[in-house]
Amino acid sequence: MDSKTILANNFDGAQQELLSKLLTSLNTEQKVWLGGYLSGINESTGALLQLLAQDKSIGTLAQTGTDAPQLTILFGTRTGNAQKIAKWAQSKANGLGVNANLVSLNDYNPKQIKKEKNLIVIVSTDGEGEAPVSAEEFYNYLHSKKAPKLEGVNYAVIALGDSSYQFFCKTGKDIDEKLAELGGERFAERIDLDLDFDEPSKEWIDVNLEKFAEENKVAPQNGATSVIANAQAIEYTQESPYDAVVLDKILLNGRGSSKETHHYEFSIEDSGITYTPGDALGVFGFNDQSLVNKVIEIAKLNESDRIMVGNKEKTLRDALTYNYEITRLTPPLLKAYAGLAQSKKLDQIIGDQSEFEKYLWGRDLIDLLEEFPVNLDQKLLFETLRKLQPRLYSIASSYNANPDEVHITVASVKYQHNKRLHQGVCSNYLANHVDDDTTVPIYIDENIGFRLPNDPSTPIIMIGAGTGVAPYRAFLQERELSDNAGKSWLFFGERNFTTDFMYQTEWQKFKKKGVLSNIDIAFSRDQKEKLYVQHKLISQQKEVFNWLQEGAHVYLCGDKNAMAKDVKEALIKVIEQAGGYKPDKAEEYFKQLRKQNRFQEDVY
Amino acid sequence: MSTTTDIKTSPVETIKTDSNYLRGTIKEGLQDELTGSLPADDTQLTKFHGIYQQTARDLDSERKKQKLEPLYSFMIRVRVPGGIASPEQYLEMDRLSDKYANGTLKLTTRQAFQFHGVYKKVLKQHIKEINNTLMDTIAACGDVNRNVMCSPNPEVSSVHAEVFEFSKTISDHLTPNTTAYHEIWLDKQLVGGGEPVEDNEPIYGKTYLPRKFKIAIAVPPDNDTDIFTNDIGLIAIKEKGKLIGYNVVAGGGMGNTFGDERTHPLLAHEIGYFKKEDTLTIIEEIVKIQRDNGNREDRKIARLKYTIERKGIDWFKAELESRSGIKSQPVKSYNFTTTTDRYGWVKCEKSNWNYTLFVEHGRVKDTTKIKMKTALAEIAKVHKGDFRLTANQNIIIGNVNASGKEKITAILEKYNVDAKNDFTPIRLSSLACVALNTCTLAHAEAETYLPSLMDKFEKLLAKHKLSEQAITIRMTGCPNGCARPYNAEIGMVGRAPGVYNLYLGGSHIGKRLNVLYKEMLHEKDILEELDTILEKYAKERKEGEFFGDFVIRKGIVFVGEF
Repeated sequence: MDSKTILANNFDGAQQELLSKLLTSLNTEQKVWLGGYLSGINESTGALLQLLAQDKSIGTLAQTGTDAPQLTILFGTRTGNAQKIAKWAQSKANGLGVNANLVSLNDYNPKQIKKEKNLIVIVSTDGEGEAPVSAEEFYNYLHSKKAPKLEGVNYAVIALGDSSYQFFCKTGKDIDEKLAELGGERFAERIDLDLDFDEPSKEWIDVNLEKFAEENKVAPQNGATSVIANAQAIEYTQESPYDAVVLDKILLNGRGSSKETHHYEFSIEDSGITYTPGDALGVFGFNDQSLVNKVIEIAKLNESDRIMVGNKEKTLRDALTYNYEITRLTPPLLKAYAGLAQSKKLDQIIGDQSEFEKYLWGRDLIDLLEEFPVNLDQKLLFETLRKLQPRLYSIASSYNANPDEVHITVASVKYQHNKRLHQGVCSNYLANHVDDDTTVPIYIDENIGFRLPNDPSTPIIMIGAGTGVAPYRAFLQERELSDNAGKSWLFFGERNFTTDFMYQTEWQKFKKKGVLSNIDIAFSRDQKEKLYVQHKLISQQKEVFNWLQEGAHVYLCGDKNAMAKDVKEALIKVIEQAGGYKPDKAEEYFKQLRKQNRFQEDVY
Repeated sequence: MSTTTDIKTSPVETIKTDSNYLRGTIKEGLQDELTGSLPADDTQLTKFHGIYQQTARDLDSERKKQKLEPLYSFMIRVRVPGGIASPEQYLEMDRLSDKYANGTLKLTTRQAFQFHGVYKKVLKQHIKEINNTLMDTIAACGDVNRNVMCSPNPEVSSVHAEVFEFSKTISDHLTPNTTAYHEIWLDKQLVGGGEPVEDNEPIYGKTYLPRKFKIAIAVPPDNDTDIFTNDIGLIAIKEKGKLIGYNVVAGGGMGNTFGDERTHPLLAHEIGYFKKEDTLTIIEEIVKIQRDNGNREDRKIARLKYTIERKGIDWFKAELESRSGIKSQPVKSYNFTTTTDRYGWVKCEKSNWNYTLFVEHGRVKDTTKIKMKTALAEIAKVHKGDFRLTANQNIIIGNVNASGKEKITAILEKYNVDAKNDFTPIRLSSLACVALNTCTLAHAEAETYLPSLMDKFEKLLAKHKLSEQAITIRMTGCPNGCARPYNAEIGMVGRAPGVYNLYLGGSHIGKRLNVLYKEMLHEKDILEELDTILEKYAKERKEGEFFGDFVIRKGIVFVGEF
């Protein structure tokens, strides 16, 4: 059947016209997405799929002839990092003459997998070793009885994670093993990437895709350059951040507060930097000298020793200050250290899963050095210390409303452990060493998983606790510029009304202008019983459910451990109680919200 | 009655008219979680409910930069007609000050309890719990009759008891009828259920009075309630130890506005003597005369004192007679000797004792040295008599029997609270209002500053060997005069932080206003000026001559016409 027949058999005249128009207007990525989306709905959309299948542009991106090898790149991400790497891989592959399609696991029909010839799966791991939501369905399918045999499928896995968590890169590892078990064949060894993934991921892509192209006998195209070289052309990244001048630093907490949260405004005037509400700002902080001194003292290091950091030689003091993480312990560090320490107690800790986790929590390098003194091998220490990472902060401003500025909201991380004050690297660097006119290295970290609806008239429900309120300031600034912005509802939680109502006067102005329609506030410490945003959601459940029915998008931002889980449970409860759904149906409803990108989260 | 809609009325008059008997949108405002404040118009109405919205003024600009609204809180004034509270009531005030307010209690110059720093979130619950003690806050402020003051006069208890009962009668008689208070704060539904009943204010009408209205009663020889500074003052007249009636004075008031020559403090005029059974009618008619004739265009000149000034005292007397149908008799003779309190233990009739405790500027609090707040709460737990608030911001532990006296003395000693706490007579005669940091009207500090200034005054007096001399010293943060500064021998009224106008020459017994001596003085200037004058006073005073009388006699200030 040709496309005309398919159209005529299935759609009326007006629909045929609309569809023709639509299909010609879509770009390839959009068509691929639509295909995945339709196949996810049900069988009766088969006709549309057939139409899409006939579209020559799909699957022929960077077309090099019909013989070009097909490569499907799947990514599952929460923060957008996996997508970033997937894009690099796609661009490298296309440059090599490989026919690479990029599909989010959120949109991918898992049943497709048995038809794939060549596959790269790039997937991150959430906190406790779970798959990110977008990859959940794919992961579960592979691990279910329905999983197909995958003989003839060549694949490779890029796993992302954070080595300070116990289940480092677990989702990627599981998928890699499962694909092999089902009969798939690795064309490249898996790589497990930590937070400093940029360089190693690009290296992996360069090496393995070049090998892949060679094995599949494709002639490299003009312009097939290394990803690393390409990336350097992009101006401000984690590798080459922008030195932004601080325009303003404001303590947002009133006197007597139990918290310390600062608002920072950086100048990006003439930098060419742009960003979208929902994005994060990468900020580089440095270790406090008092900590560095103590590490040098306890570990009996020589501060003027020369150390190689990447390809640069530095003094040991500078390396500890600017390049290595000393305020957190990671599992690899602890394991390597245990090898040196020869301590029964430490071995016992490492041997016991929950003891191991408990030990990692809240301790820094000094705690470890003090509790298990050893004659430290300097080389081994620097091999196992993790590189100091920039910290990511949700951007609190809208670019369109402040084209020369970018704002963030930063709560100082401070806690007592072993009778010593422990402080977060970046938040305290900013709080203690940064002032107006200081220069701070920054870059934009795109977060496509946290975006305002394309249609500004769509209602939005914004749920945030603490600094989790930051992106909503950006959202409302952005919607204030729109002529047809829909209604909006903010749920905000903090400790005390009088001191911790961050951006209070701005919300008041937004409310007065109608940019913000509803606001519900939970201050946990203003009364005997703790009151949190999830309680406010429940008490407003009827109205919240009505908004969901009207198509509202729901956003959740803030602390992963303290809030996210409870809020999600509360939302399901709202659906259950106000919507009259049975528990399992309510969960299904919520799942659909996620699938439709109507529930998005930015938790940390 | 007239609501004077044909002339251009002041904005507050419009708010009152539109408020549906003092409701406004207070109820809705309490629900708004986005702000700790109430809508501006409603803050005019909450005064009628005994509630003032305030901010921590020194933080206003800092918080603005922090993107936080001003630190709003509320001051709540509890009416204590005649100034008498039971130990149970006192204990509740003490508890509520810790639970909802800033942990202190303020005893006001009008014998009321005041809470400070109450946040909106707990405001309603606080008011509810105050009402549970059978005290309330309605009409503690606003354009109505306020707390009726009555001399606690410990030596003549039998007359005092009757006078006290009368102060309650006046208070009840002039309390607004509106059910708004009960509806908003106590969740009381209008009875009947069907058609909402329209409120009715037979004395006040829909727009209440043009301005605040104050009534006080004194029992000679004490003028501790400073009756001449009130809209209506009553002087109890005894015959053979029995109360027979009152001399009525009217048209006093302290408030004025800097730079507005139409405004000034005035002492009340003597109107005449009335039999005790006629007095309530006289009071009601004076209130009504002011209701119908007070200025409703300009609040600055709306008090009864200006009405009488404008219309003339003869007109006023004639109007009162024609409205009441009661002829006044000539004022009966009376003799005031003091405006201050007697401190420590005083034996009264029926062989009971009263203990007057000096509370500097009325602030009941614990310091590291003196645990006055704890001591008073402990006393309230064992005390069988009553507590009396004085117009000098002190507290009397009243009607104590011999065994009670022992217990209370022990408690006072335990918490380092002793009768005079070694205060000098001059400190015992000092008054100050709250002023900065919370009062929205204040230009300068008073309560928070005067104690430290008193340290320096004491040194001056010692230098001139005047330490045993009582001189009334009163300080306010603004010209409205809550601590009655114009009726003191030395008055200081704030102009700007650290800057005061200095007034001299009031009478010690509160019967003559003082006069502006010098403007815009800093502490150094004030001390230098007083040093010179006190030196002169020490050398040249007549025997028993009060400081206020001395400066007039010597022409240091001139008493002229206003």
